[in-house]
Amino acid sequence: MNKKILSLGFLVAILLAVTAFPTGNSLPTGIEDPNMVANGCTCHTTGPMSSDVVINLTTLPENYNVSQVYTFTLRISGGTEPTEDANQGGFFISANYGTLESTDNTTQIPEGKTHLTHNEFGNNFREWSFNWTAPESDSKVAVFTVYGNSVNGNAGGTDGASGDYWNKAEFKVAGVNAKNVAEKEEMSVPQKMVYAFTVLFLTLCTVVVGNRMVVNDQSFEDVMKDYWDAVYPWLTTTDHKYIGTLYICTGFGFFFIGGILGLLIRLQLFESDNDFLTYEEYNSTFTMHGTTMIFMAAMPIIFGFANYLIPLQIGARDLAFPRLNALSYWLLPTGGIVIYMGYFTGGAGDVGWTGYTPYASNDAGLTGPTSPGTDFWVAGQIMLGASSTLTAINFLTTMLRMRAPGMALMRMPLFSWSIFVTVFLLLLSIPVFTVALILLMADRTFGTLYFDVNAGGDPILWQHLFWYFGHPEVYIVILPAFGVLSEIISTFSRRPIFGYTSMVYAMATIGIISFIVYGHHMFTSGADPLFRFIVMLTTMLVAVPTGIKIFNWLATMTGGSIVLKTPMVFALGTIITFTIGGITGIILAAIPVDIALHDGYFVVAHFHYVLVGGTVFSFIAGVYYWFPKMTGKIMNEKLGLLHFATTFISFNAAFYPMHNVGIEGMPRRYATYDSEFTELNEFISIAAFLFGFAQLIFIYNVIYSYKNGKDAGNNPWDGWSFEWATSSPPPHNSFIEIPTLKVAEEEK
Amino acid sequence: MSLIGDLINFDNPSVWNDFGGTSGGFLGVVWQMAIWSILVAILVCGWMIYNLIYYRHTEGDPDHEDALKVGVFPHERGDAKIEIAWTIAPLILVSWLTFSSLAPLDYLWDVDGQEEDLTIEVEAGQWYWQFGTPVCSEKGNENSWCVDGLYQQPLSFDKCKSNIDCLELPHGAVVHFRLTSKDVLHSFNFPEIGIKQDVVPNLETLAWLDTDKVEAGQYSIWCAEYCGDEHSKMDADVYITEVQ
Repeated sequence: MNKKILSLGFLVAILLAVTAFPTGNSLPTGIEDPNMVANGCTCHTTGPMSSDVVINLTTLPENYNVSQVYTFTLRISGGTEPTEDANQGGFFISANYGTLESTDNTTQIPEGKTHLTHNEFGNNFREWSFNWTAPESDSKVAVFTVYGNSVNGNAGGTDGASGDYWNKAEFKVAGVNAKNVAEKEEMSVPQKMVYAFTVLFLTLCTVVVGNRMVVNDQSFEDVMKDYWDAVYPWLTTTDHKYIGTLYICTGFGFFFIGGILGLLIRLQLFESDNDFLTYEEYNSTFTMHGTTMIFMAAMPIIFGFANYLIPLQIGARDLAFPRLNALSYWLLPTGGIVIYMGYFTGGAGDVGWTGYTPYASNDAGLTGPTSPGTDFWVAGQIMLGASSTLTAINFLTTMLRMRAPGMALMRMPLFSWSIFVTVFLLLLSIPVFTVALILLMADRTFGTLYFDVNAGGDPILWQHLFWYFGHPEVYIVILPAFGVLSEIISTFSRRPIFGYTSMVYAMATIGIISFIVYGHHMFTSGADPLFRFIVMLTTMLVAVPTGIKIFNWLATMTGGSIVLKTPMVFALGTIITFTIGGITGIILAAIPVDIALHDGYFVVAHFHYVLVGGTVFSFIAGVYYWFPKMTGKIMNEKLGLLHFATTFISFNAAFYPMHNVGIEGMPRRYATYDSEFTELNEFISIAAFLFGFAQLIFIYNVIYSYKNGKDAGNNPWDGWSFEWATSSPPPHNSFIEIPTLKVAEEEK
Repeated sequence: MSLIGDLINFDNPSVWNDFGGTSGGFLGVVWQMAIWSILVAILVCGWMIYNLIYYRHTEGDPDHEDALKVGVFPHERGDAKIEIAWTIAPLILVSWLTFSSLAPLDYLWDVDGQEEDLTIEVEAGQWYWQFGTPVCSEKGNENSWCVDGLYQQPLSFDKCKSNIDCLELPHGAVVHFRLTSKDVLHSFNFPEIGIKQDVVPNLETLAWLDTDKVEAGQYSIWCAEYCGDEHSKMDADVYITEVQ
């Protein structure tokens, strides 16, 4: 009974919410199109736009040639019956490129304008001819916007416009070299890649299955049954260790896919004016690269480690809500697939990972609308947002309620602390983004007007909503990396971390500051100058707790007994690259400097130094560090050091020069660039490919060590926290007996 | 090795050289940023190398008395004085860097403080820049290219065939740009000079340029805010020409 009432209440609430949507398909100011008025055509706009009026622009060339003159004929029909010897119609045409020219006494270009319209004499016709001179560049797309008015001729009086109908139409002519609008009969490059990998995968499957059938003399059904038995526990598990492994593998899988997209970007930028990708494909590529790396690679890797390690570190058997945890995980591949579905709808999302409106909200009448896959991009991200929110609740509950005896909050290992701060940030920021995405989806799909500028929407509202989430998001990704580094550096220096308490407070401070700095992404936007000035001050403050952490790590090493194994080497490399990323962050925080650097390659260099040089490097260190715990095998040391050397050198070679091209003025998200940047860009591209290949060593090392690695034992690195107290790999219920945390001061 | 040359010598945006006379040189914000960046990087790397040289573990080293033991929360290690020192030192450093960026910021943002000679309406749309006819101000009237308060394009100006994606400006004028967008966000960006201002629909934003502070010649405007398919081709030429 109660449930029925509850669901009825929900239904009523949803219905109310639906009616509250600010829907509409017309502009609030009436049917008067502001663009049209601004361009000088104000007559006969009192009636509604009418689809009865048919506008034809004929003798358009298929493609135009540079500076050639073309004669067009504009004809309107429908609407009202024309009256002989009276006014019959009018028109207005504007071109975004080239120049229009009147050739007879029926048309005119109003003084100081560029559009062409009828004159008083031209009113008596419904057909006009005029010339258009093509622009000097043949790589553009000329768009002709035409308004046609079908007039019944009852001119004069106050009612002169009655019975008149008008309509609007748009015609496009591409230059002979405007490749991106040429009919797309061929598959796009990313589509080809998807098909190629699918074919490759299916071939491999056939070979492997066939091999099994022949060698083991099994029927196809038997082989499939074996596989099903192997896969089934993974599909149905609620064990934090299994889900953690799934998260980590999915994360690195998407890291691989996102990396390929990154390399496609670098291939396109290998030379200026490259036609490897069309502009539209390029835009999808960097959008998907960013979205994949942040939401489907970095965050899942972090949650994978958190899933695996948090219960072990705080001495719990599992997370508080294991089934919720499984739901969180399965929303991730689902959301990922939905986002990538965009590739099969005529182009994946192409709005950048920031998805700035009004471009992303696709207001009516944009010359260049977003690609259809953007709807999938929005929908998939909503799923990922739900996944992260559920995870945050799960971890918060676990860490507050399920710690082992003796494990006070201020005695948690620093990785646990970093996740603790992170999930607070997640809980406060991700829902904001998810709600913003729902509004965006409503705008795009249901015709609401939340972000519609023409309807009076705030043009930078989205930026506030996005960066209110987006900046804490950056710390969500980097704080766990700090946790990993703290664990590794302390363990391999064979001494306690220097300044445990100040480390915890530094992380908490970063968490708090992260909510009041987001405006530094909007230094050149039209936001309030006072707001921009204040966030410059708060942004500078981030350097203080970050500095404390770096100095504490170095002080931990001083007086220690440093063992240089692969995890430690990666951790030290991370300190260097992250320090560079941190320093450039301070440079970007100064508004006068940022105004020149904003939206340029210096910013690209900065966040790759932080996200790859900080997050990815430290989690690779984390893999080397915790792989023995997860599998019971130690990873190969020689391959590990080779992996580090190649990765560290090629990373810096690829991303350091981006600072230079950025200072010289190369903007980000450009599919082509001025030829003065060619040399450095070629160097960057080559280094980026080397960086990509270096990761193959890592994959090989993981597989090789999983099969042939040395036995690790429970505590191969002599760490102190609880995960090293249980066996490697841990038993199904994590601990045979829940341990009690002792304190060194009370031991003797 | 021209590549290494490229990495060391590069052109910085010209407005950095001297923000209109405020805080140039080694005490200016750009050089201070560069100097302190290098010092901090040297400090971190130097300290790390020092650690690696003097505190390496060799086989058979005895464990330190507070060495880690599994299942035992380690000894508290730290020194309040040192920790406070490296809280305050970065605080002083960033305060100084913030302070040194105030004067350039004031110069860049104080549009009204720079009395203009010309005002130009700029409309951005997918994917073009459209420049209105310059409007003379009272101050601008003192110049040869303003006659009775109306802008007269000097006869020597012949670089632009249309007002779309092309603009020719006299050298030695303070120019205000009133920026509006027809559709989506764009950004009005002189990469060589270092001026950038987003162009926002339904909101007029302002940018300004003192053509006296830059050399005469050809400059570009590149759209810096992602605006759709042809974002990378949304450029305009700006010619700054000496008027005889």
